[in-house]
Amino acid sequence: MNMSLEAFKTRVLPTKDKLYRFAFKMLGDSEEARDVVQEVFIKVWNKRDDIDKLENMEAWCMRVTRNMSLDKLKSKKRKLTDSLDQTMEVSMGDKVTPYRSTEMNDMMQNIGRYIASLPEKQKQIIQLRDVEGYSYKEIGDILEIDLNQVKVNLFRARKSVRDNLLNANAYGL
Amino acid sequence: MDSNRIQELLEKYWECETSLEEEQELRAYFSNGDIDEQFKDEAPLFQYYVNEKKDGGLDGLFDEQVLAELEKSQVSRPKKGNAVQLFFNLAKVAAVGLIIVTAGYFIREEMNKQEVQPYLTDTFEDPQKAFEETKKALQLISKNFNKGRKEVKKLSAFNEAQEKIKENNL
Amino acid sequence: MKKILTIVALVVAVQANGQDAISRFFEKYNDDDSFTNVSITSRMFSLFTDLEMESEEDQEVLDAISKLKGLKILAKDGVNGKSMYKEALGMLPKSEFEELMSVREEDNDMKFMIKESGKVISELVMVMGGDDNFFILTIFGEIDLKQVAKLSKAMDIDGLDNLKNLDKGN
Repeated sequence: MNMSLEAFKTRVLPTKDKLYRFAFKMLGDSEEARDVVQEVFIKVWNKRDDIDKLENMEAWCMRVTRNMSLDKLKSKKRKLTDSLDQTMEVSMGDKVTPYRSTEMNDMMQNIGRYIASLPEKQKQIIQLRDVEGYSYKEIGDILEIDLNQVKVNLFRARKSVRDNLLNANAYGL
Repeated sequence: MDSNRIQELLEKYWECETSLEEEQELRAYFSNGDIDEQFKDEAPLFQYYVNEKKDGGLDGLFDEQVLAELEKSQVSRPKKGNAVQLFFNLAKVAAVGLIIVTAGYFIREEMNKQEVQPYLTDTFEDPQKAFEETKKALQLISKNFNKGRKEVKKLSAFNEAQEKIKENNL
Repeated sequence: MKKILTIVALVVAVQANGQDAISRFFEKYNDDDSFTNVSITSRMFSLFTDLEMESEEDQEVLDAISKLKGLKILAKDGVNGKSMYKEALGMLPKSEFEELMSVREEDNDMKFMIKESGKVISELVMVMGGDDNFFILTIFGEIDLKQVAKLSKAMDIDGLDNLKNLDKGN
């Protein structure tokens, strides 16, 4: 079946924010994240003849978003002499989110910064589960890892976040 | 909301045993403002998650740009009707012939590059059977592949064996 | 327009036919009824998504299949497997295929050959030849070895220990 532009508008376009947030978390750059989402959508459109065969289109889009972001990161890494981690740290440290975060208090900013510093996989799983609300199965599909990996990494991530939370409070930060 | 319920959910949450619905319940509780003092440590975390989802997004300008891109690619698709007209004109028929040959050539080149589908026929008509067969085949590959990998790890003399096989068979 | 497309498709199909060495090998033995012959196309793969997948295991298989475009198997008992093994490997263009692994077990020789385009494996051929049996399997598309390797870690399927059982299954 051929996807019409109308169907695209109702089925695909509404996923844009999720894709964008995910790409942004990985790239730390709002312009690049925007480009990635646009590329993903063009890819979906070009593949619209096959799209109906996909069991879970949204998860598929997220997966493509992730892979494209990884490609971007790789080429970025080649360009910069600094290690990836350093560049990420700097860019993530400056701005936790690109958005006008009016309600963000210090505590939440601290949390955001801490999550951004988690290992890549844990960071992505937190984003997918605790922010976007995907099931374990979907997260596995998106990250191309098995369920066990999803659970193990989520557990570690939540544990670190919790430890950080308790420490921060104990020291009155 | 009942504090005991939240306490219970939180414990499950840290153990990663909460369902999606329960996690939603937690986020809802922490974002409604009326939070029990005993949960003040956890509150900012869930508020952060809610905020993350609420805040980040792409604007309407993005939609316009994407849709414009897509429409461009749609227009470039061949339209029906044109071909019919071509057939009324002999000269154009010849042109079509040329296109076919050229297209065939280029597509073939592409195929050589990308290796599209050399296998044209199915031996099964029932997808269930075909699936079972594919499953068997993939597991066979998988098993032998893993067996092979194990051997490689086990035997440092693997290269020697490999050479022997080459001698014997090639 | 449909007509033209059909003609283009035909021209391409004819031109593309016989391009692929391993396909030629298959063609040679395709009509020989004494061989077990399996062929599954991407169209059939696409139908798998409609099947009811009961187990996680089936789901994993489905994931592994998701990027495949074709699968072919040719197998026979009571044949000089070693000479066919040589023949099959001889037909693989050396410039395109690379040896991934080679294993010898009892009297069976086995080789994995892969073809890469870019960074992905686009074709994988597993050839096995023993004193009195022969087996060749090729999968085609985008192949993720890690995913394939996973399939046999999760479970140990009875009857996959050797290819004889696979033969009988047909």
